[in-house]
Amino acid sequence: MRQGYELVDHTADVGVRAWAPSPEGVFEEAAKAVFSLICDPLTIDQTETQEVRVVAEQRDLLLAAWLNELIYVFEAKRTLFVDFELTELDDTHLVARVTGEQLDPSRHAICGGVKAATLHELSLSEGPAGWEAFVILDV
Amino acid sequence: MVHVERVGTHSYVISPEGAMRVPGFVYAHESLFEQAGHEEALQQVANVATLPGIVRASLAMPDIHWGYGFPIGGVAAMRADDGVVSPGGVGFDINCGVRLAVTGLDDEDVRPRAEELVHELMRRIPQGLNDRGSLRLQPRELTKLVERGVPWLLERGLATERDVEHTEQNGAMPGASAEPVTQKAVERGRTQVGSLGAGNHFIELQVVDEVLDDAVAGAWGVRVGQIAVMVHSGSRGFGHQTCTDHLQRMAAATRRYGIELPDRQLACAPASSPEGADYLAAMAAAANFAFANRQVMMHEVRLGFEQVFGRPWERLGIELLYDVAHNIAKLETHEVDGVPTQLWVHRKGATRAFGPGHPDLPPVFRETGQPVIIPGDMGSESWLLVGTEKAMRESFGSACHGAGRRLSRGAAKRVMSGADVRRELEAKGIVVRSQSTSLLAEEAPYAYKDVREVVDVVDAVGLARKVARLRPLGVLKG
Repeated sequence: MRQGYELVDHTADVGVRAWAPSPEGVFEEAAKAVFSLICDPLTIDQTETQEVRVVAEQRDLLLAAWLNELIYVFEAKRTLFVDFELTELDDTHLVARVTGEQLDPSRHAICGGVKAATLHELSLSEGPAGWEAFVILDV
Repeated sequence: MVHVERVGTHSYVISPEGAMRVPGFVYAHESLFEQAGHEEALQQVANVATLPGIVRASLAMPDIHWGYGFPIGGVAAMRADDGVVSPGGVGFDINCGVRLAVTGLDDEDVRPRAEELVHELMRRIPQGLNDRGSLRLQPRELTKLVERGVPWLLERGLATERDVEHTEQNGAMPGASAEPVTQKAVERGRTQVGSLGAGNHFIELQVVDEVLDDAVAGAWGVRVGQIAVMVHSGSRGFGHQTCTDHLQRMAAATRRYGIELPDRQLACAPASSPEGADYLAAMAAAANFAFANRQVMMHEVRLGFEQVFGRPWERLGIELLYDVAHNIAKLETHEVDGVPTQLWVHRKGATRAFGPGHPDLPPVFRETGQPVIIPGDMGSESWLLVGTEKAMRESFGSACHGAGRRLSRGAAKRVMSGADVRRELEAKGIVVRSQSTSLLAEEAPYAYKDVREVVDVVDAVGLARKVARLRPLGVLKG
């Protein structure tokens, strides 16, 4: 598969491996993985779009900061996201349009919580088959 | 791979190599070496030993398992004057901890009404991602709560003087400040005071099954057949965001202070630096949030018992035995090479276990040593232990914190469905309620090490001594 993600077992936490032809695609896949741990993506409608801006010291830290920003927006604003589109990305900043809807406990069966993306074994690199990232989430 | 040498029945040493400043010292049952992820966990013990200012050894308790940065079950003490503090040595769930309340009720009073009680607690205390806690706070009130902790709840009639005295650090960390707490942390946590959260957090209705130390149990008012309530939760989104924000800032600062790290999750800064001081003040605020969170939930537990039994909670004798933190950094004085030294003791999945005579303990525990509360896995037993002199000498007054995971969440879910786990527990007479059935599968008993094995090692090496065993009647999961 050219673009996608998988969840990887880690004793106390959950690892996410994401891959895509572009770094933007990897950021988008990793975000999908985070929300797949919170709620069944098939139950999330696309009724509202927000712009998200994130800065960090370097590109792999930017990946962790991006996921942490989404976790914050979800918990503080009670919004579930299902579609992610990076419109700008360099080593230290990104801009994205994220689409989803307000959490509705009567329709959204919550699978679990995600506390944060950690920096342990965090990686983002380009290989012969495209871009790949690994990040461990504290759940 | 690190080189591990067995030096006692339950003791292992990792000799200093490379950048390690001190050895690693692991208390463990030999079954550790069959556990998945044990090599990574031991590597993490060695990694922590590289942190500037660390004294004596990088320690691991018998419930050690692979974490991120620090191993879970890790204890490390850094000199306060020239050592570092590390948010990864506390974790995202700052002051995740556990409290045990005892009651004047007996097994036979409660068992017929266990289902009704668990239902009442479920109605009163939000779980999972339903995070609208019972305490609605204005931003200014949240500032007071996190700066002053449980004593602020005393003024609001949500705690008693005894509750304050029976909480580690009297439920109020020195130096707590809302200043270095970000607006994001406030937004995440504002509505969550008095909510359980998800993951391994729970409220359990328990019965004291066996007393192993009559004198200590007697002094604490613990007896066989007595009903108790255990609350396991932390600082919710407020603490998670506080760790995230300060970890990011510290990851940048670490390089500036010329500190080389084997793992970026160990990001750290000198305790006395602006980054270190801000983290410590924000961490203390998040720790107060967690103490208050567990206090407000216990208040709701009291009201739930009142509702079911039709009597005031005071007459039902629902009193806090103790509340302990197991993810925290504390400024403590311990002897290092015979000299009393101020240290930042990081406990990442480890419980303070002060022995008799410690001045920080209230009078009843100054006689006996402090209660060390060890929650077991869902549906099995939990333990009450007492801190010892030996813990003061060997482990900076620390012991284990729980059973420790054996299977990953994914692996646990492949063994049995959540509905089946619930049926198995109910067949044992345990009432189980949760918002999420998949969570029940992730938290199934077989996903954890046998808590008895962990407690046996702690007791055998003398870091804490067994006082009583408790088994569950009802479980409310996140």
